[in-house]
Amino acid sequence: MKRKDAVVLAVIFIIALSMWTLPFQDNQLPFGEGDSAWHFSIGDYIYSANTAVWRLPFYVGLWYYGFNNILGAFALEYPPANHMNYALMQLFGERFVSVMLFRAITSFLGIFATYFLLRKLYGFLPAALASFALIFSLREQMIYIWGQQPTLISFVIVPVLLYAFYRYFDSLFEGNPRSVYLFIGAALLASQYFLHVQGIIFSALTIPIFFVLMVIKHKKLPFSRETLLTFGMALIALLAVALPFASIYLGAQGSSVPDQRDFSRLLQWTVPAEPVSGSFPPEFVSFSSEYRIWMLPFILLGIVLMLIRRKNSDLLMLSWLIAIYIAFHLDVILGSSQWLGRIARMGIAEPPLFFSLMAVGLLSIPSLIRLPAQPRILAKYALAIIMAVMIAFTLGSSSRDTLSYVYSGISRITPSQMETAQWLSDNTPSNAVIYGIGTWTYPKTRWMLAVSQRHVMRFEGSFIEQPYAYESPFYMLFDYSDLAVLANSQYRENALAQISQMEQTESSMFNSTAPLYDKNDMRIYYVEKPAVS
Amino acid sequence: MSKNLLSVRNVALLSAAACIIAGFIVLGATGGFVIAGMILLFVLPQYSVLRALPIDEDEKWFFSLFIGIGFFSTAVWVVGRFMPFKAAAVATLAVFVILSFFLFKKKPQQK
Repeated sequence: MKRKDAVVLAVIFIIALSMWTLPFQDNQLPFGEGDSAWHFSIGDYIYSANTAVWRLPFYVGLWYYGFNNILGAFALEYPPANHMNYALMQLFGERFVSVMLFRAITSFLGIFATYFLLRKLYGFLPAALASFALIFSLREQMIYIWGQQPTLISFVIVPVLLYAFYRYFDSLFEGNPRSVYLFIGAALLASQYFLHVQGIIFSALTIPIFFVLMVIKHKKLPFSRETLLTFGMALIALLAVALPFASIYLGAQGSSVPDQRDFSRLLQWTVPAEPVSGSFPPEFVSFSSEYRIWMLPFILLGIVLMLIRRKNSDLLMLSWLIAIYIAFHLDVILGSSQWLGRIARMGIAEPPLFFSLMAVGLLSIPSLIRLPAQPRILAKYALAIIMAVMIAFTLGSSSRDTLSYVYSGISRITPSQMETAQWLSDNTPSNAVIYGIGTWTYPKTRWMLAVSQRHVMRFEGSFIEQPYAYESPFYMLFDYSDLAVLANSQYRENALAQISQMEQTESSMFNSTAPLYDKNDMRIYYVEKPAVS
Repeated sequence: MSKNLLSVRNVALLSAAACIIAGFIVLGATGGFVIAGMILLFVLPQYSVLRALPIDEDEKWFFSLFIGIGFFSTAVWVVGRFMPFKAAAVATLAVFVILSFFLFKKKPQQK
C-alpha cells in the first residue's frame, strides 16, 4: 500500500465515524434492542466488578436462565471476547459512550476489511469505491443499531480472512506454499469463533468452495506430506484455542425441527421477508433497500467478468458468492426453517461482496472498450467519481436519515428512567428482582436492567419461580413517564386507557403501602411475598 | 528530507492521528481515547508479534487488527482468571511487549 491508501483510509474512517455515531452524538444515552442491553450488561459488570467472569452475575444470569444445557444456570452464552472488549473500552472513557463508540467502529470495520481485500486483489480504485459504498450499507447499520453486534463483528473479519486463505492457496497451487498465511488464516478463524459462531460457519463454507474451484482450475490436488502436516498443525492450533469454549456453543438450547423443504426458494436469491417478519423489517432482506437498481448491471458485469477471466482472485470472489447463496438456503438444504432468522442475519455477508463486484464491474468498462492507457485511467477515475457521487446522494442520504432519527424520543431510555435505574442500583440489594409496568418497550426495560445492574423485567401478571430467585426481594416499578408523553401525542386515547389500567393495578396491589420511590411519574414498591411453607 | 517526511509510515501515522482527533471532535475526550485505546489494545500487541513474520507490511497491520479484535480480549480473560480484570489487561499488554522484545531480539540473530 502507498501514501494515498493511508489518506483514503483515514478519510473513509472519518466519514464513517461521523455517520455511524449519529445515533449518539446528541443524545448519549444507550440505545438498541434487548440484545444490545444484554451484551452491554455483561461487559459493564466485568468493568465495574473488576473481574473477568466465567459465570454471569445474578441480574444478567436470570435473563436467559438455564440457556446452556451443559454448563447450567448462569453460564456464559458467548465466549468472553465481546464482553471483555466492552469492558476494555470502558477503561478509556465514559460508561456508555465508550461502548457505543466501540460498537460503531467495529460494526463498520468491514469497510476496511473490504478495502484491504480489493486493494490487494484488484487495485486502488475498486477498493476505494467499494469501501465508500459500504459506509452507507443499511443492512450492517440495522444490525449495529439493534445491537446484535457479535454477529456483525464476526462477519467483518471475512474479507481479511479470505485474503489470508487466498494467499495460502495461491502459493500452494503454484507449488511454493507459504504456510504463514495458513496459520494467520487459522488465527483469523479463531478470532471469528471467539466473537460469534455464525462468522466462522460462513468462513467454513467459503474456504472449501474456493479450494474446490482452485482444484478444478489447476486440475491438481496440491497435497504433499509436508502440506498435510502443516494443515494438521494449523487445525490443531485452531482446535486448541477453540475447544475450551466449545461447551458455550454446544450447550446452547435449541434443536432443529425438520419441516417440509420449500424447493422454490432455491430460485430466489435471498431469504423472503414474510417468514422473518417477526425479527426483521422487510427492508433488511430487500435488494432495493440495500442497493439501487442501477447498481445491478455492474454487479452482474463483475460476476460475468470473473466467470470469464477465472483468475485465482476471481475464483475467490465467486466462492464468496456461492457461499452466500448456500448460506441463504441452509433452511432448504438442512430441511428446517427454524433457523431462518439466523440465516437472514447472514445477509450481512452480502454487501461487501456486492459492492466489490459492482466496483470491479464498473471500473472494468474502460478496459473492455480498449481505450488507450492514459484515457483509460482517466475514464476509470471519472466513473469512480460519478458512482461515488451517486452513492452519496442516494444511499448516503437514506443512511443519514436512518442513523439520525433512530431511537429518538421515548424509544430510548430517558433521563428520568436513568435516574430511577440509578436509584435502584443504590437502594436495592444485588439479588433484587424488579418487575416493571408501563415502560414503553421491552428493550427499554432491559436497558434499565443494564443501567441499574439489577434484574429488571416486565411484569406479565405473575412472579418468577426460578430456584435462584427464591431468596430475592421483589419490587414493583410503575413507570408512567412514557405514557405521560404518549398521552400528549396521537396515541392519547390508548395511553390514557393504559394509565387508568395501571392505576387500578397499583391501587389493588399497594393500596395501603407507601412507595419507596416516587419521582418523575415513576413509583417503586417493595413486594411482600407470601410465606413459603 | 521532504521525501522522508512523507514516507508511507509517516503518512500512516498522521492518518491514525487524524482519526483520533476526529474522535475527539465528534465525541469529546471519550471519542479520542477510545480510538487510541482500540489501536493500543487491538492492533499494537498483535502487530508486535506479527512484525516478525515474512509478510507485507500492510498485511501485518490489517491482520493484527482483525486477529486482535477477538484474540486480545480473550487473552485478557484467560489472564483474568488469576487476577482482577484491570490488572489482567495491563499484564496481557506486558506479555505482548515482552514477547515482541524477544522476537525482535531473535530476528537479527537469525540473519
